[in-house]
Amino acid sequence: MTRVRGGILLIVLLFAASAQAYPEYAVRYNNNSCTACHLSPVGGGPRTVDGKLFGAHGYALNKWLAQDYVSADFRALFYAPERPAASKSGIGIMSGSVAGHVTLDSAQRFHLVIEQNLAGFAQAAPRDTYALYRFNQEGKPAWFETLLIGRFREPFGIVTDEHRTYTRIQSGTEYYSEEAGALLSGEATGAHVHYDLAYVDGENTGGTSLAQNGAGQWGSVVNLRWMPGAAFIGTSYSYHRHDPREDSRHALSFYSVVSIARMTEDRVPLTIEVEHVRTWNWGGNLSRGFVNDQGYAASLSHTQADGWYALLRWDFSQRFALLYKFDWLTPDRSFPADYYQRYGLGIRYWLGPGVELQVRGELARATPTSEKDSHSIGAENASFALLTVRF
Amino acid sequence: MKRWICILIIFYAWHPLADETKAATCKACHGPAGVSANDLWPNLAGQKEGYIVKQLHAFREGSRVDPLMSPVSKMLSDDDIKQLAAYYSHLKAAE
Repeated sequence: MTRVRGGILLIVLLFAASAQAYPEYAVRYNNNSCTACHLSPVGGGPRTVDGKLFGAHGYALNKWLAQDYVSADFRALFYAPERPAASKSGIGIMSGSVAGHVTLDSAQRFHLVIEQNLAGFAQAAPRDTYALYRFNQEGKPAWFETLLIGRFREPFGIVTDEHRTYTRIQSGTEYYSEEAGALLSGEATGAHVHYDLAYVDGENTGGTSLAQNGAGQWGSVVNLRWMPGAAFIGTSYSYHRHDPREDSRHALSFYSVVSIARMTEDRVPLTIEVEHVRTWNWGGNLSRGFVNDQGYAASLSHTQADGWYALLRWDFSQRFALLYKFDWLTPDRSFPADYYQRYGLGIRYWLGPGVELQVRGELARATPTSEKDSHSIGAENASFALLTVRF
Repeated sequence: MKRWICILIIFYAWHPLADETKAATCKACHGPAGVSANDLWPNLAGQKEGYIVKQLHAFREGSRVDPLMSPVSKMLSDDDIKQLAAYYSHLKAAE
């Protein structure tokens, strides 16, 4: 029983949604700024009233919920692995967050956001919790748009609600990896380049306290995203200093989202997301349930790893989409024959205002000898249904 | 067989009428028939043609700013704006 509970917890942990953001909407509707729909310039987390209304997918949202002060997010998962007797199966609550957000001044420059996760994985932990200053209250692109201080997601790579994505696990940018620090965001006006610069308190601090084991620990993230038309391409680099410094963790991401839907004015309603991530010394992250064999996991802690992520989304209507996802991870570039691969097919359907159901089947393949027929998250065939309710 | 598949793809890709296709972007917020599902976003069906033209130009040129409309309007040419205004002004207004 303990094993089953542990398995479910593990699933919940690894499926945990990385907030919620749809970069494909940014491209489709020509908006290189996440703040059109989200309070945070990184995307994900609590949404503005426009974000809530847009997320209602054409359903009428209760007028009491269409406001800028309170939001909530609930997620439940049904997970069915190919071999359910192996432990990891059942229903889990992934998260149940409530957020309050207020504007402090009449000019609408100072904002305060506090989000608490009350249920599921990382319950009783704060999520997006920060003070935000808007330099430009009109919402026009500007060199300096927002300064955020508090707890937030690192602006690394594609911020998405895709689950169990290798590139997120590989680079420590999962759901529970929010950090404390400062974030400056803006746009190179006229060049269509959005930037994020973050200084954070070192990885794995939970974003709630100062870094332990060395006051000098710190991290930084740079994210640049260029959107000249119906696509954006971006790059992110993160550095987390360790002592000794040769153990410091780096990660580099190149990513792109292409909206064929925008190019064809929805005649071909297809969006393609692609990301490539290379990491240095992040392999230790894989020991958190992704890899079954802890001996193998330990051997990966100081390796260079390559990860690929691709998602194709075909929108049949405003409320119904077909998804195809492909994932690839080479945990150690010195041994390219050892890799994980996963591909899945499924649907996403909006049942009501902010009520979304995703059902998907995924086939996984792992070539490392000790992982081949294991029941680790990284190598398991599974089907799942994910219910999300948020406003 | 291949020929029929090609014909189907071409038909699916290009069959919508021009004005309606231009409106694809607008529908996500203003509704498939130009009637918004909420109190905060306006209906476009039956709106005055000149008013739509004026507002879209204002968003595009920056004299009116909105976090959603400003970026969307920058995708539109003068002809697009005229077509959209004509399309929505001729739709039946919500009762």
